[in-house]
Amino acid sequence: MAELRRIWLTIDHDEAAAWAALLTKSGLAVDHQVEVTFGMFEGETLLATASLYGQIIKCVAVDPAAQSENLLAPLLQAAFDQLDDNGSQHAFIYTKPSTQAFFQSLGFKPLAHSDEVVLLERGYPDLDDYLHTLQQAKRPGSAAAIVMNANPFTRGHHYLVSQAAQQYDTVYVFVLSAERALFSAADRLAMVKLGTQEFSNVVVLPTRDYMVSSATFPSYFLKDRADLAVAKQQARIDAELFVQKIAPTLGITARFVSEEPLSPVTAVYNTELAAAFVGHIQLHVLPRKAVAGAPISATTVRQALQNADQSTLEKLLLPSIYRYIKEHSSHAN
Amino acid sequence: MDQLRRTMMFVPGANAAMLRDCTLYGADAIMFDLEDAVSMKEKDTARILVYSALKTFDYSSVETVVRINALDAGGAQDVEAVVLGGVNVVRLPKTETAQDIKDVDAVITKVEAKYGIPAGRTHMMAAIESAEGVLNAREIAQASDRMIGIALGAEDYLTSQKTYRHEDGAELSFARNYILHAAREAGIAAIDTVYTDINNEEGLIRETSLIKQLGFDGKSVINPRQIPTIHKIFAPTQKQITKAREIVAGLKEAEAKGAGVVAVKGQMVDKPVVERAQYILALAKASGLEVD
Amino acid sequence: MQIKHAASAGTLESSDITITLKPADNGVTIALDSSVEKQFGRQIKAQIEAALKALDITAVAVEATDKGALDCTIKARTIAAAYRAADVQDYDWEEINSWIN
Repeated sequence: MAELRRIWLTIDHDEAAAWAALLTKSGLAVDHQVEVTFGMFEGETLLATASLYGQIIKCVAVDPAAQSENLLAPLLQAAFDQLDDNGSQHAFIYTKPSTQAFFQSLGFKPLAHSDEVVLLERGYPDLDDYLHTLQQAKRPGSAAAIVMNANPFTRGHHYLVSQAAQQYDTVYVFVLSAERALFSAADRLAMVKLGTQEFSNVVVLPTRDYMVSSATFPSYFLKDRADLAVAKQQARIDAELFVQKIAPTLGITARFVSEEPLSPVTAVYNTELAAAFVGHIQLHVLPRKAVAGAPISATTVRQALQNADQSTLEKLLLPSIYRYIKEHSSHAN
Repeated sequence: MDQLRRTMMFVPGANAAMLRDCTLYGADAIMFDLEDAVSMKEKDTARILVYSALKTFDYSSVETVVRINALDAGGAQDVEAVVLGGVNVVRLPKTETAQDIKDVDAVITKVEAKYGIPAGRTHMMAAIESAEGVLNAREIAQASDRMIGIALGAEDYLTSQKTYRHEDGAELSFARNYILHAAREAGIAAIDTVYTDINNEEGLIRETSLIKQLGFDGKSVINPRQIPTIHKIFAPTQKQITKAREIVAGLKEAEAKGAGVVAVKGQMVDKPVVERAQYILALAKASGLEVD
Repeated sequence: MQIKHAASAGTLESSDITITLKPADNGVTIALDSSVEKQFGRQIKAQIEAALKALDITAVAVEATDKGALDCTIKARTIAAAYRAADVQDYDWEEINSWIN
């Protein structure tokens, strides 16, 4: 009878080695980007494993010799219980299309797929809930979308929105919901609403877990540390989810992005968007708005905030946003 | 006939498959666990699952026991659910004093009255898992008319004694003997602790032989694999069976004659010996050694 | 009973079922995934519906992942999910006992 145990990769080196060997044997990369790892053991022999990274279940492998046994259900149950302990009832998993049916039998629902990868979710609130929210914000006519972190909202973001707003009846601006930025999601959402209030045809919405999120595109938050091959796969899934589920719900036929000369991960993302959008959605890549010859970037703004560089901040931010930051953030004074 | 309690098998209360299959292993008693085997956040789901199982499955071949949580940690709800479900025995873990038993008794009494269940139908047993509990075993064993047994839980007890399990069991000798005395004084069963090293058959045989020698009724069991081994050790010898048959035959003869005294081969036999003989025959029957 | 928010009960283990209840505007919908759906799908749904009816839940979206659960397990998981979704900690055992068998 196999037994479920937690594997402490950083403490127990023997079990860590067995874990790495099992992943390799199963044709998976030994991905140390995991937070909690579980194993099914027969005595001291590791037969199957699964890990959690945030809400993503990953590094799922079963020893080929033990595949007739039902080893995965207890592993996934342990992962769900762990998530539940962290206050979440929502899990995601990336897998090969060939194993999709198996995970569906464990209550997962497919979100989007590329040729190599399927992303599935289980629990709540789920994509249906999100699409229901979007449905309620839908307006008639032509529509474009912009997805932004707005950390914080700059004159560059404002320019991108203004360009889209001139060409389409409605522009849906999606603000990243992940709490992995200097400014909170609530602050970023408020800043985008404030910075776009002059446009009556702009609707500001949160991305939740379904665009550039810790689930759909975790590499985005790793920036320089991201593996670009992995980032490419995730970006493709994120783009497919947009094409397959989000755009149809709101009647979106175009998406606006800025050129990305600085971040390789974001550049990969734009490339994958273009590839996935062919035949479905028009991708407008606009050059970055520049001030005094330098392209505006949120990174520069955050540096200026840190240095209390008032003249740079005034150049890069709308007055209303600068005021908002001064009033709401402990980072500026 | 006395209820046999050679084996009391732990079944996690949250495990739907085990709740269904647990009677298949031949244990004399099944103990559905709502306490340590169930995580804090699944107490609610396990409680309704065990209740539903008690209402549905045919457990008539075994004695059903539910290990509840402490009264202030959901135990009162546990009692309501399982008494209503028709459990035979409510087992209180970590019993320290007679008052602990009286408190649970009071809750059971209230629940029985609320639902028109015959008063006293639900039995109780105490698990003793600390030095205080061991030393209070006599009062605990006699704390309620519902009490049918007392069990030793060695893991917590030994930790509190600043030691751990050893092969010869010397560290448990005082607790075992004292609990056994308390149980016998009160006329109730004594159940030994679990043997946790499930792959060590030899160790299980040694420990079971020891506690049988001391006089225990049986052992708690965590793995069904241990059940046949324990039952084999508790099986009486052919010589014991033959002797018991003679005594019971003597009893029948005495009853037929209306005599107040049982005699075997001209020797008078005391009541405890007669009861012991009946127990031996029950054991023999359960062990597949005796046919009526 | 009023479904206040989404809640689940149950596990993926064999002979169990995971029941998730979500608020809905009206009516009862059940999305079932089961290894035995062909033979028993209708019966599983009927058990869930019966439990919901007994709990007086008339508007809910149910998702169920079945691993071969028996009727008593389906009922127990549905009740547990309902009490969680309604934020009620103390069960009405008298009421439950009146309809469960």
